[in-house]
Amino acid sequence: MDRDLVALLGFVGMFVLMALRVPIGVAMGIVGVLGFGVLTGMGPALNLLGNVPLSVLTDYNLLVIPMFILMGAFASHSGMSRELFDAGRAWFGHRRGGLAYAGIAACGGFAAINGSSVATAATMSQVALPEMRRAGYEPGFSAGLIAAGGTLGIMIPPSTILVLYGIMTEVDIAQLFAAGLLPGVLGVLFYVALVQWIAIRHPQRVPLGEPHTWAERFATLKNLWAVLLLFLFVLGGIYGGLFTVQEASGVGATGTLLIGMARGRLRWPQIRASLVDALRVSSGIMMIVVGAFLFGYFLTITQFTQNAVDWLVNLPVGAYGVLAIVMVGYFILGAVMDELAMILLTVPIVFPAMTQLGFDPVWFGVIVVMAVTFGMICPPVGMNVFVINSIARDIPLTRIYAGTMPFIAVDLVRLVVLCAFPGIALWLPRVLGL
Amino acid sequence: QDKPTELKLAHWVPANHLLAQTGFIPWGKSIEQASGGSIKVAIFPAQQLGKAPDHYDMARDGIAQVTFVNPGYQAGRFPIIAAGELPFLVDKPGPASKALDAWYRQYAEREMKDVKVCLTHLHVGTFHAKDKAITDPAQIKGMKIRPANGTVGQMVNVLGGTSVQVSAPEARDALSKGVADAITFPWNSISSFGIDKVTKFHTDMRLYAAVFVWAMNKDWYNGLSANQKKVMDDHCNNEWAAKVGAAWGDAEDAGREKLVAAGHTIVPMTSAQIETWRQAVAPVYDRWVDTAAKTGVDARKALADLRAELQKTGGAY
Amino acid sequence: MKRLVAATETVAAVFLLLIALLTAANVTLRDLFAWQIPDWFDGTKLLMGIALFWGIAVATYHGSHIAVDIVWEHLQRRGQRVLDIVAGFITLAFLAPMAWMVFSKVLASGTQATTDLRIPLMWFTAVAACGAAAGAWLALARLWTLVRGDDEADTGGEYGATDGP
Ligand code: NA
Ligand code: NA
Repeated sequence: MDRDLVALLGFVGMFVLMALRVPIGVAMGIVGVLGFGVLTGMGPALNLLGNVPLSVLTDYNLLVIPMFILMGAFASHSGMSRELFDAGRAWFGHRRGGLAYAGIAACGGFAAINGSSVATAATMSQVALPEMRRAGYEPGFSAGLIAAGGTLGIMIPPSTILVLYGIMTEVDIAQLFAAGLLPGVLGVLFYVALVQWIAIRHPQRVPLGEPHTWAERFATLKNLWAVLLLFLFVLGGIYGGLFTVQEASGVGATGTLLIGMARGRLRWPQIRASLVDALRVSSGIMMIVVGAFLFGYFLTITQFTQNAVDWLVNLPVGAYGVLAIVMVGYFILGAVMDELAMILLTVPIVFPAMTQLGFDPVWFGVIVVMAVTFGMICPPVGMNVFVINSIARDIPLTRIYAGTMPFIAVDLVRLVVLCAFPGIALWLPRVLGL
Repeated sequence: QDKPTELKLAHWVPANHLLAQTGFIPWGKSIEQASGGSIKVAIFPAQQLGKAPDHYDMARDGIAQVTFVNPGYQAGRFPIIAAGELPFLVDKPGPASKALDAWYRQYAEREMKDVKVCLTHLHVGTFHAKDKAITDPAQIKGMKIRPANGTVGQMVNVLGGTSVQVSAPEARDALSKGVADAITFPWNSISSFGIDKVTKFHTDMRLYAAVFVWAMNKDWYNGLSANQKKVMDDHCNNEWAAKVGAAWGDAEDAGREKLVAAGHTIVPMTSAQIETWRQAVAPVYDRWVDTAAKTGVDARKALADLRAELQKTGGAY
Repeated sequence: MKRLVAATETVAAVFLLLIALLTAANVTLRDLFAWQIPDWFDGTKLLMGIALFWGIAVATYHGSHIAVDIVWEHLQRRGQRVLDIVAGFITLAFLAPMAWMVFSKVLASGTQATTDLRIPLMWFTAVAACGAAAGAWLALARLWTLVRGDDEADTGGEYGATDGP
């Protein structure tokens, strides 16, 4: 059979299975194996089905996924997420939209001690969302803010998406982490600006909070030492040569555990809950990684990948034209598809094209994270929105999506800014001498 | 008329790597030509069809028809061919590859029985350090070294050092930050991976070799016509092994001159110093003999045979 | 059954703790005493494989794998059940051959051993492969409960709340 046709049928089959609510990893995996079988015979395809799970699930490079998630689980179960939010509330709570600022700040802070967007959104929808609603914030807006704030989890280091990108492209992960920090901070600032704008235009949507005394404010800062220490220790250790990025994830998880135990907040029930949470989240992710690898090998032998790269590079629209097309493509794919699977399938195609067109590989890593960001909060399939909906069952999906819209708009602005000024991403890695 | 067939050649080095330019691509072209186009070669570089350590299984399972295997990536699975990795054993990569290939042909059937071994070759590397040239085995104690393969890792451990496991692309970073103090690498890869920026002290000796096998799927080969089989046999012989080994290995060795030109410190070693090293690493040889003997071969004789073969081709160190 | 699965999940989750502790201990020993735990590298990888194979098995039982609800959520209860059964069957059709092939890979790994201590790799990969087999069995068990129409089977939802990158 014609290889392009097989590849096309593969894509169609994958989307149909996904629509049938077949687990995403299974949908990609089964189509990958069958497609591989059509082109090379079922024997090799079945062997692929044995090789890939073993080699993916024991890939040392992927250790960061369970470990940075475990670090976040320990941090959350030992109350660090609440401390972040309380500090934000003490400092900004008196202003109009104060709890919104506090929520954004807490998302940004929690992002610095875990590597996952969904985990950040889930944690903050348990900590910040109930408080915001109690204070009279519009539920859709509050949930939208947490969904968007959650995406900071993969921009501000550590970040599982940047690690995956680094592994796939052999771009230095330490450089990628450094490159993500300022765009992440920029995200915080843009969200703050958005809340400010809403506070002026629609004051009824964001109520005033209660003022806190200076003594109360400084008291909350005292609790933040643990978060700050962990962030500086993990990144300092990576840049100071104490450990590799992979090791940093395990060391960070252990450090968070020890701090939690020392403060008397992590006993066996909390530790067990953290471990089980981390296992569930990382198993869910790794099933998709396995499926994406199977589907990816299938695409490789159809030579679709190579043809797509050639096609992209030779489009007569200039480098920035291609970049624009790629971003629109990501926007569409991200809307309907799981973001992790999207990255695993597209980066092998898009990355060579982008580097051939002269774009910086580290900068493009940050752009890929932006692409994922849109997908996570964009209807109809937005993972962060699903997660918040599953925790706050009484806020309908449509309302949360309405709430994310303004944030998508400012994220678009941020994307344009990052394209116009790549230095925002590339300055820090350069200063750090990476 | 021969039935047209496709040879998928899977490897894990970048598409434009020296080995691809001097080995895979010309080899594939030559096959297409000799077969009159009835064997079409499609090359899948850079782990596109599977992770580096899976390449042996990929040939066995028919995921690709020919794959590039580093037997050292799967510790203990191929104990016999690990002889080629032993420290201070081989010198010029061309002749040494020729000898290794000739020697391994008698063991390939037993050790790699799930595939047809097409050819075997090697390249040679040494120590590259950050702060100070490594000239004496006693220096290794307490050092953190990124080893090229399991045998080098064993040697580092025997000498009292610790081995740091990072992938080759991450090695520069590990060195620059001090996660590792030194690396064992072939000469040209030091520049091509940008490690010349962080290691300035190089020891001019034949520390270790990395061995490679091109493995072929048996069923695919058996299904070829007599004509096509001959084409494959003509491309899976000792000449090609020597040719590929020389082309890549010599290009790696030539990287030494680049470092000289860039003003790096390259420390030559006297034969007395090399003798000290040989004695210090003797336990690594003993360990190889023990492990290989477990497979039922006469390990001491096998090692002596390999040395004799190396003497014959001029590849001995 | 539920209690057995929960216990299994806890054991698999404890492997994550072991990985974290092993990594931290090894880094500390290396940085302070220039000494490493033998086989820390292979050990970490293998522990991760075991934890994840078993974790995937448990997620299969709970039906908590990341999936797209877009059609499902617009269906009536009956339609949802039909879709769950179809998806459960396809999941089984994937996981059963996968378990079979993973097992045959593990059994064919021969003399392969860990780098430092040369412990047979099979001791560890076999435990991981058992996780793959458990995954296939649990997919079957889930499908069976769905077909019988018991309410015992989870439909995802709350349980998988925090799944995702
Ligand atoms: Na993060
Ligand atoms: Na989406």
